[in-house]
Amino acid sequence: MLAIFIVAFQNRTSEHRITITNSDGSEAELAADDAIRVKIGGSKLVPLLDIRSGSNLPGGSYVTKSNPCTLELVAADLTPQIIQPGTYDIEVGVIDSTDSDRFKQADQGVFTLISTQQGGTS
Amino acid sequence: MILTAAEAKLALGLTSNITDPERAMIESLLTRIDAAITKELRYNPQYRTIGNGEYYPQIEQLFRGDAEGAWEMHGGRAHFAFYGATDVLQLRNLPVRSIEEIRVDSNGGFGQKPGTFGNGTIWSVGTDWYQQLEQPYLNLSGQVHAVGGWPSEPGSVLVKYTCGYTRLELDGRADGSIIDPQTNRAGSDINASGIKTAAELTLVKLLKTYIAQHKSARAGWTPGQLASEHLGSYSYSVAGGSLEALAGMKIDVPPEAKHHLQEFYHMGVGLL
Repeated sequence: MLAIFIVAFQNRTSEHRITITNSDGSEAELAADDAIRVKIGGSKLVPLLDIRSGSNLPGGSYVTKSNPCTLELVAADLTPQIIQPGTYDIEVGVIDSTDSDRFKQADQGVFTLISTQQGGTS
Repeated sequence: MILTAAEAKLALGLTSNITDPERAMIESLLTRIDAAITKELRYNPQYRTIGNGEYYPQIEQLFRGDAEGAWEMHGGRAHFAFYGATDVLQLRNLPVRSIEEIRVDSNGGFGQKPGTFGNGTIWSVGTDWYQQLEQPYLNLSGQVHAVGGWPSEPGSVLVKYTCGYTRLELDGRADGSIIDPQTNRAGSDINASGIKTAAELTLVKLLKTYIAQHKSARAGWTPGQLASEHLGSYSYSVAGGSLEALAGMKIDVPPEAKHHLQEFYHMGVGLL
């Protein structure tokens, strides 16, 4: 059973592709009003990054409402003030519009933020 | 928890491929590891607030000071409350980060007697008590000094405080240039990553024990490492030396992990 394992870099922008599958391995289909949601943080804690399709983070990070979806983590959302280098839980799921907008987790994996050298982000 | 699920997966090499039984094992082990570390250190090292307070002392101090104390009124009668023989109060959880308040009521009865620990029992920092600080917001010993002396009556002191190491400190990443989200203050320069290292080592050892106990498709429910097997007139044997340990599933911090906890042990437990 595959799992999510994403590596990103402090103060750097990166793009990642995530595919959500059904239990039989087929790609899950999204309804018109569904949304993709990605949470990055620690168990039982408030997420450090909480990205929902259609609602970008202040720094511009976003996740597309599609499957496979694209998760773009922008440097401005990966500053030390927001998230320190280290290993975090990442949770990906679907907000199911056909079931009272319940958040249904597709998978939970590992997100690692690697420290980088100082300097501009562009 | 000291370890997150992600950190556990990383330590076990389960980042890109993990089964549901493995997820369940990790989830089950993480809380047990917290308990094992807490038991070994004699306190929970994770940052938190003791909001309801703790009562001290737990037992009556047998030796009183030189007749020092204070007159108090209880139930319409004057009562002389002797100070104990020591001016040091040892708090249970380390390190102490800040003390919200201390209330002293010699009739306190651990807060179970009516009309005790009212606002009139609040002691003032600097005037009545002070902490043994290494840095602002860091009291490694957990000791609090009374200007006079602490009362000898059990349950007569109520202390509300914050304690423990923040997640950044457990990661060894605390930095004075950023605000620690748990304390909302500039990060300290404390490196408590030895505790996290001990947790990881305990996790790896526990998981190996779990796996050794697993039902083997070949050997049925017999626990233990497969020592040998043959093909003709098929037979197998398992390593029996570890059977008792496996069956007992002792969850202790292994010796190699204790090494990383040396500087964090609570040395003042005997003073409680």
